[in-house]
Amino acid sequence: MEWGLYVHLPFCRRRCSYCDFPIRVGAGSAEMAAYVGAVLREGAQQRERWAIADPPTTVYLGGGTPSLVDPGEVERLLEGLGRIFGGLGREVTLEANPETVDGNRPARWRQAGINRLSIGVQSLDDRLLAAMRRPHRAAEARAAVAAAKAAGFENLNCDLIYGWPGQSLGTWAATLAEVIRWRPAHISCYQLQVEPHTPLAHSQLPGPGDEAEEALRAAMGDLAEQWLEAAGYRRYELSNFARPGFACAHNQGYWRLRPYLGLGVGAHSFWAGRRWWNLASVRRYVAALEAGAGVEAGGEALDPVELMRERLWLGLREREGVERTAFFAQFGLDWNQAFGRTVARLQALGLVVDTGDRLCLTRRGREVANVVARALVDAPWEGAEAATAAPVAFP
Amino acid sequence: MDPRRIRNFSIIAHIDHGKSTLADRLIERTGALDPRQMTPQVLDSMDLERERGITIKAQAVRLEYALGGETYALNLIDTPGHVDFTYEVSRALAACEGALLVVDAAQGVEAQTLANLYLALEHDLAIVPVINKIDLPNADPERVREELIEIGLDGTEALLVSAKQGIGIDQVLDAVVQRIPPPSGSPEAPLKALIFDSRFDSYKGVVVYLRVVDGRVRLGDRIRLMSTGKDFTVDELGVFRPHPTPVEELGAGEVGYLTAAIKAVADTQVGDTVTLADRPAAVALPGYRPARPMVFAGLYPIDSAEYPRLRDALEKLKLNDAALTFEPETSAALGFGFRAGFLGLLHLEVVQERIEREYHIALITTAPNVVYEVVLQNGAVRRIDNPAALPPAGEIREIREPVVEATIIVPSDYIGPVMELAQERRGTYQSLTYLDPRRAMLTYRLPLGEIMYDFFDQLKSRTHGYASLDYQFYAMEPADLVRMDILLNGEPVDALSVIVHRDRAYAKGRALVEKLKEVIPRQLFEVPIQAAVGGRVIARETVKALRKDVLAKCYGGDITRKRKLLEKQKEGKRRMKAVGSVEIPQEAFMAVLKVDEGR
Repeated sequence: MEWGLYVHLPFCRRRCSYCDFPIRVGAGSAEMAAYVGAVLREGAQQRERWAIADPPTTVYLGGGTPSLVDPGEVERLLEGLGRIFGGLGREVTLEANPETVDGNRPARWRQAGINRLSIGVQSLDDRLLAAMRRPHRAAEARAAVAAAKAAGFENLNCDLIYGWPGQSLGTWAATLAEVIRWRPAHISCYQLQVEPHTPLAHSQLPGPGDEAEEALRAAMGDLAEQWLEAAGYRRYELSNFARPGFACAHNQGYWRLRPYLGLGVGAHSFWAGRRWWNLASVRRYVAALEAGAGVEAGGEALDPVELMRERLWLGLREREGVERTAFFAQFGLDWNQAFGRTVARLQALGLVVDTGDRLCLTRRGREVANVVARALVDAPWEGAEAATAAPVAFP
Repeated sequence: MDPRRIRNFSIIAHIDHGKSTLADRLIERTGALDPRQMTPQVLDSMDLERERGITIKAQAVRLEYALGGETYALNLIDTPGHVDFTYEVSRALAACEGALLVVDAAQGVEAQTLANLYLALEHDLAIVPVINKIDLPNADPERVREELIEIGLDGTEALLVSAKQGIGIDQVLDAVVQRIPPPSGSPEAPLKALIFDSRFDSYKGVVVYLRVVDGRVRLGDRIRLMSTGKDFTVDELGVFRPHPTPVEELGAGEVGYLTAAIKAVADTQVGDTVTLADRPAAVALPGYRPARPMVFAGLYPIDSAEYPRLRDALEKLKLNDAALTFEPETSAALGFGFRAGFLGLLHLEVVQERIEREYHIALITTAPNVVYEVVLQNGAVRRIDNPAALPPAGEIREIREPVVEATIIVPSDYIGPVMELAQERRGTYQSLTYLDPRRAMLTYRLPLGEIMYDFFDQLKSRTHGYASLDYQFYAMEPADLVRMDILLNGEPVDALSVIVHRDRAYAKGRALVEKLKEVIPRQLFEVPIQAAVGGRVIARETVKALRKDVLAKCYGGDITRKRKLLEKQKEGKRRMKAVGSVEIPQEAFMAVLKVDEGR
């Protein structure tokens, strides 16, 4: 069985102004070590609970700033997880902040089993980095990429953010051009999303409805697509670009509705048609696991129809779209049987296209993917009674 | 009961001058309710009334008060406090022999004070002036006395009261007994009772509020409603103390209620006369007229599947609201709905809110319009209550619109701005008189269509809140009116058509398309908005196409949250009506009310 293992390492030096993730600022190494121990306990708990026999297909250490954790602890974590689950799969990613990719750390990560590094470059404009309250500057990003390459990391991702208030097309183009010159295997370009309850949301910002601002952001997105595709990076997902063979297998699992376990504070899991999430407080998380208790904070059960909807709106984020045979194998019917009228309407609007073997967003559909997603999140169910009763291919 | 020991009276006042508080004090003082049962504004029983601080329905309560060794029954008949309900006020006053005219000691005489006074004088009521809120630091009772004299009252007889502090309440009760005459009807004549209000009760049917003028009505009597000739058997009689208290009979001069298994308040219209079926009165009491809606709007369910539920809701509301009218209507843009008639905008808002709140039906309400009379070339006259139904210009000889006579009271410094405003709204000047050296009363004739939306707000803002307004219907008068159509994406949207004065069409069209551009969200494609008169486009704006709408990140931890976000956004969309391929929010239909023509 294919499944993904996510571990949340919430430690950060400070909170970036756009961040709304569960993070922990100012933890010492003892706390981090205790946390790693707790994560391993949770892993063992989950393996037993679900009687998981297969090792994960992919592992992703996300954060937070996982690279802030002592490499020795990373090693202990991966070794422990490998033991619990009988292996770590083919893609093991670590998220890293540029200022932490130095010394012998990259080499030790490789040694521990990390084979993919995702570096939070965000921008190469120091003024923007300061406005983002990033703990690094452009020079450190350049050095980090060089150090990662030197340590032998071939599968390297650079995260970039565009559409920052006051950012010009020129500064974005400069960042993009330089990052392309580095030739990382993978580049993610995220348009800034102002999440509520972030320092950014509370600061003074020009209104998002401004037509000129919106046109500028759209131009930045178009520029990224043009330059990256021309440089041999394929836009395989709405915000993700990769050279052939380097798409992030772990993230593809999310869009394809594969099961995943999320360990650590605030981590989400999706298993057996149910999604749940963990306690957000490190202290309570560690205490619960040390006491042998569960750490689930909340959850939701999704029925087969809801799962089909998610499969479609998430799957359409991928350039490949949703494969007809894969959808049929998962649910035992075709999307035209399930949501034929909604799909037909989206086709008539020119937002999706059914190529026969797959359902994909059109070029216009990629610009307004939320219009498609909104239509699908509660698309009226048209399937026959028999179809809902059909076995659903889920663990 | 001996009519000599009955007093029937109302309290009339400008809004916020303290009518409800005074009523509360009178009820408390006479022990009709003990203080623990008192909620502020006892007489305003609908939640909406308390929220909005206005009385929508009239009520009546019997107070017992002893003076000079005699016990008197004082029937306090509350009146609606809004210009939409002037007719209801006049019927409530017709049930009385006197009125307390409450004037705020700081504010002085206002437009509604005057309008209500004139209504009371039309019914020949004894007026007891009450200067309220004398406890306020800026109270100026002497100035108010002078103003009362100016409007023809004996200011020296005014009572000084603070209802809030309970000052002067006994003097008010004494004055009700001593200065308001007892009722003078004949107990032996055939029954004549005036209906001044009614409300629907799901157990008893309609509860009719009435004032017996002549004769008497007893439990079990067969009664007849004179406007319709319909007969019913009285199954309950009572008085409000203020809780309903059954009695065996109500005699001449008394005020109370009856129930008679009546199904809808439309059968018991305010102003109608109740008599006995076997000994009917020869003529009905004067002044009855059926409730006549002045303002019309289309009510459409956002989800067309809710049409039958909307009809049920309207039918239920109609049980308790004789003034509400509705007829099925079809709009090319909005589908099946109803054209509903209202006494005024407040009445419309109340109905709209009750449908949404009590029946949970999401509504699109089209911009309200007045009723027009169209004289066709062949001389036939048609009443048009929907702009979309206006016949082609070639068939029309004349269009008439309702005109009101408006009274505006304002500090003399603001006479200029008020006259300017009235001029802009096509007003015709009638008169200007001074109440005192600092305050003036202006009268204008104004088209109702020009003042029903934002006139009052404009008046308030241009006079720093000092002006007060009251108006009543004057006549239907011809005007140079045209229909302006709005086209979205090249298609006319019938529900957005408005009737405007020809000289105003251009400015209004410009302002309207600009406002629509603001309120119509961006769609997948560009949406041109045009205003046209007689097929000629006079203004145009464009809503640009949605450029980009994408969630940047969606990974394992985001899915649940992002799905909820998308669902929430969709919920917002559900509040919109799809007209052709364009999604239009409710605000668009009300845009015409909110446009600023830059005048």
